[in-house]
Amino acid sequence: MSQPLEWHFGGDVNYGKKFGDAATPNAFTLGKIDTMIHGRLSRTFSVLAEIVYEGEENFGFDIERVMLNYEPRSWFRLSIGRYHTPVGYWNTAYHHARWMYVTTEAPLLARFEDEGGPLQAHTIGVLVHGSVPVGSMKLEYDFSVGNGRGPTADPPQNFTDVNEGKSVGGALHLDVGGIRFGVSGMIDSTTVTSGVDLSEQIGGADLHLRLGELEAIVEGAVIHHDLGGISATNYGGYVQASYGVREDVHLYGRAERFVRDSAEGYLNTPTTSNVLGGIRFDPIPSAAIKLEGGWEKISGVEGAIARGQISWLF
Amino acid sequence: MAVLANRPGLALAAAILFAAAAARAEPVLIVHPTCPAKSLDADDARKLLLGEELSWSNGDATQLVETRSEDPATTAGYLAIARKTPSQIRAEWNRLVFSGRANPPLRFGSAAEARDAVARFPGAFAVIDSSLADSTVRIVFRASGKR
Repeated sequence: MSQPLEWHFGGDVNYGKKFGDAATPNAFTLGKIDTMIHGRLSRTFSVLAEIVYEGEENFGFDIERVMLNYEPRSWFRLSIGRYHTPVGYWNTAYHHARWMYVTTEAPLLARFEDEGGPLQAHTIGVLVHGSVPVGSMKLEYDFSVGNGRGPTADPPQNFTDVNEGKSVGGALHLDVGGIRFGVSGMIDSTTVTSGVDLSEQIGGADLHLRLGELEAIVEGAVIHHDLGGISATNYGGYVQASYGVREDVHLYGRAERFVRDSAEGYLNTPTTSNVLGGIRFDPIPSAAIKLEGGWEKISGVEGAIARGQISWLF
Repeated sequence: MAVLANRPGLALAAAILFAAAAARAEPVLIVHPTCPAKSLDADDARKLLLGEELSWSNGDATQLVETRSEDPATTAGYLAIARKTPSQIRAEWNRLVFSGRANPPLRFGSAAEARDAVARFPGAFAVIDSSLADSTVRIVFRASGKR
């Protein structure tokens, strides 16, 4: 049953302009160069590694996922290694290759730790998940135990853990004929500096709907922190919809809001509001051209935006 | 029908033509013999091929099996079942594999090898020419829509 390693290669090149912001000139930017290797070891064992090359001035690489999977049944799947936590919808559906997104970028709520995202998107540990038929519906569950947060929101603790406590996460979703909805959450504690501990509780709900050519995602989360006795509650969410007017053309729109608590002392995520709309054209099945425009307000600085992207995955 | 009843020669010719058409090769969706599905309707077949359904009712994960190069019967079957070309189906599965929800399709050198893999691997399925489907696998869907 062993097969040759399967390689996938994704990447994107972007152009962006923010109007009314002289400090941010329009620019072309290299996005993420994403390689994923999948190896089938036997009928039930497989390995997956995802390595992303990215950066602002100099390229570096991140090992985003490395997992050994044991999957004897669809209702019991065990993964050990570095994986995406089961919090929310976007984090488990799209991962790093931007070709996977209908939009040019992920919503702020679902961005990764090194992009200022507020959720614990990656961890190193053990993930048990599966899908159980319930009549004509399907119940999906996830349970995760990992190192979790470190002294700073980025990076996740890859090689050690600063305390004995582990992050514990879980999710329950119901899939009913094209509509999938559910809840997820995570609790964690870490030591930020000597004598200053962080306690984190994350709770979220998400809904994904696919009806014909319409796809919609609604996702929201509350992130509560207690840092050295100071409590902060941040919350965010977004609504995104896309419609396929042709097999290779999709129109889309998204509205998002994230509110950072003024007492928040751990996350770098700013208070943000944005709306955008755009069009995605797939000239071939493995490449996409996206053009979008909108308005955003980040930490009080607002302006219109225009973005373009070419992305691929094969 | 009355016309055919009154002309036995014409009826025989029609019967031969009908039998020949029935025996003509067509794309079929085959599964492992232990698969709990005895037959699929068009919507089930489409969901299976697009990876919208990733497990059988007995808990076995579904596993797409393909040939490495494009096979005309497979191409015709993909178009009939999902209205997508093999490269579009591959893009859909790339998405699933990247998300970690599915294993990549198993690929073999010929349609006969793909059929043999389906016969060996519980949960596996493939779209091949009906002339290659033998007793080691079960046909659960015909692209012509016949049961």
